[in-house]
Amino acid sequence: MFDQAVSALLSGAVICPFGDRESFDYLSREEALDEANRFLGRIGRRVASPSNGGAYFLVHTDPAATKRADVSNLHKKILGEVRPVLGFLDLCMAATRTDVMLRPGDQISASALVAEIDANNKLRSDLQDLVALLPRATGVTNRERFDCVLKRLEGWGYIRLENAEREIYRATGMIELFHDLIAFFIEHTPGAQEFVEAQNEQGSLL
Amino acid sequence: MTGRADIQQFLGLLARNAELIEVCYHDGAVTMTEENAGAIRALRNARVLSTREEGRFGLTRAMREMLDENMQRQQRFAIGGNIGDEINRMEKLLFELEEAASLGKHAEIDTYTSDLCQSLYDIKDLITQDLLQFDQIMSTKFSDVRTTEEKMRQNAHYLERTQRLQQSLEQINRAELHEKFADARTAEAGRVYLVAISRSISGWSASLLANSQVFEQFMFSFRSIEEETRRIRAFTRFLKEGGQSRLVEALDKSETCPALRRVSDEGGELWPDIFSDRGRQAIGAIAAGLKPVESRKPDERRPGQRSKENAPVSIEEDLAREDLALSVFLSFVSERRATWVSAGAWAEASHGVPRAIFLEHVLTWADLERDETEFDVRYSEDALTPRRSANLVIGDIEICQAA
Repeated sequence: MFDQAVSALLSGAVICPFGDRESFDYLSREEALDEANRFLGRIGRRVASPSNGGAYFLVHTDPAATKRADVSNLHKKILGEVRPVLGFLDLCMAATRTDVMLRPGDQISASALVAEIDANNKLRSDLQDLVALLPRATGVTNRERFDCVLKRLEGWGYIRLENAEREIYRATGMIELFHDLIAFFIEHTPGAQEFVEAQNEQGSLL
Repeated sequence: MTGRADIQQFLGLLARNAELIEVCYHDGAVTMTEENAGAIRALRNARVLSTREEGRFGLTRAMREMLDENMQRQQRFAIGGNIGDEINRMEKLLFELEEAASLGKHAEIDTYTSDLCQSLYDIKDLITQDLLQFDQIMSTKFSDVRTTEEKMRQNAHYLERTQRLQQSLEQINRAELHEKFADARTAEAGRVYLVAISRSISGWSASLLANSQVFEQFMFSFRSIEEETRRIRAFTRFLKEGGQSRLVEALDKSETCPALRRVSDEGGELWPDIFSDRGRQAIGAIAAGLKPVESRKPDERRPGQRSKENAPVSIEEDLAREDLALSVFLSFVSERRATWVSAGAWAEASHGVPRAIFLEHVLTWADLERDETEFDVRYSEDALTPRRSANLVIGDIEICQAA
């Protein structure tokens, strides 16, 4: 089990119970995690988890030792993903009429969401805006556009297809990492914290 | 009341009792006293007032709505006219008009055309009235409602109404309806449809979309949602309003966020497996299909170099290292005159070319070119050559300048 988990971590995977249950259960054991960290520590890596737990991924022990090009590529990738993923989370909430953010393990029924989007003018407009954020994404119908969004998110690792026949997707542990990223960006992007607080304040005054 | 005199009489009644109506509008109802009993009876007969409990009278709904609209007073959970029903009525009138036209009933055509045109104008008024009401609500933001919960409920009500209005707009803008109104049989009604409905649809839709977006935003503000959801939604708005370009600045502190230091892929470098037959065969198959690399000869004239007529052309000779070593070795042999010089020993001493490669080169030279040169060659057998072997293994080659 050790080699499977470590190989997955080295390949850049985010191990969560909804993608690789066995490796996740293995790393959840304290002695197994220590063993993996001892091994990975020799090559300057260690296993990390999001602030709410629920997933494992690999980070460089010494940030300075990381190749600049690798970091730059990761950062470019993340910056390109932020708005589309936020748009998708918002679209899911609006279509399912809920205020609860998508969490790892949550089910996404593509057909149900498309039916809601079809019936609502605002959601259709939101979907078009979301597709416009994705490079090289296209689609004539709402179904095609939404499929395009799902495929892209699946490629990025945020969701995985669980039942192709019923078009059921499931959110993975990457969503947890994404929430951490957003918390980081709100805290460190100039002006973001003030904007968010002002919005909340405005909401309570209305 | 059908005649003009009746309308004048009705308006006169309203004017005479304006003060009583105003009190009734603002206070909700008036109590019948000896002084106002006559006026109240007259207003009640004219359907301006309706009876409430214990001798109190209030304005009828039609009268109140007319005054609300006139005063632009915002109702709570206001409802518009029933646009859906009016559209259904309009479609029935349209069907009857087509029937009358196809049967040639001219009197009925005029009646239905008139009713249909009036219905289309009514629909236009109802939609405009609804949109006006939404605009009014958005400008006041439920200012006369105190609690957030009540605001939330009212907002949900208006959000639902915008969706219903959207459905009505889709119903009235169907391609089938456009075709029917384009028909010659509905000429006058078609013109009214074009003027009152078709030309306004895009404006109405845009206004409605803007309204529903604002109501959604209100919903966001009113709901007691999770703190994190609220923060993330606010952050999304921040990005939409130009914050995206500032995200890069946060990356300077990426050391504090493990998600930004994630190892994305460690398996970048691949090495061919040359230790197994399968790997070697695969590499061989790939190599067999490759085109041989053509070595480029240096150009006689470099790009940009000026050409001169009748200028001597110098061609650089491309000598291999073995050829160069052989020519140096032969010069060395020439200097030694009658002395035999070992090629193997010279190669080992010169460090330029490996001994075995140099000997192989000397052997080739001796076989092909020795007759034309002034050198003698002798071969010494390798001591390790098996006694009964058919082939000799050459251990060294010695060369001497011919006498």
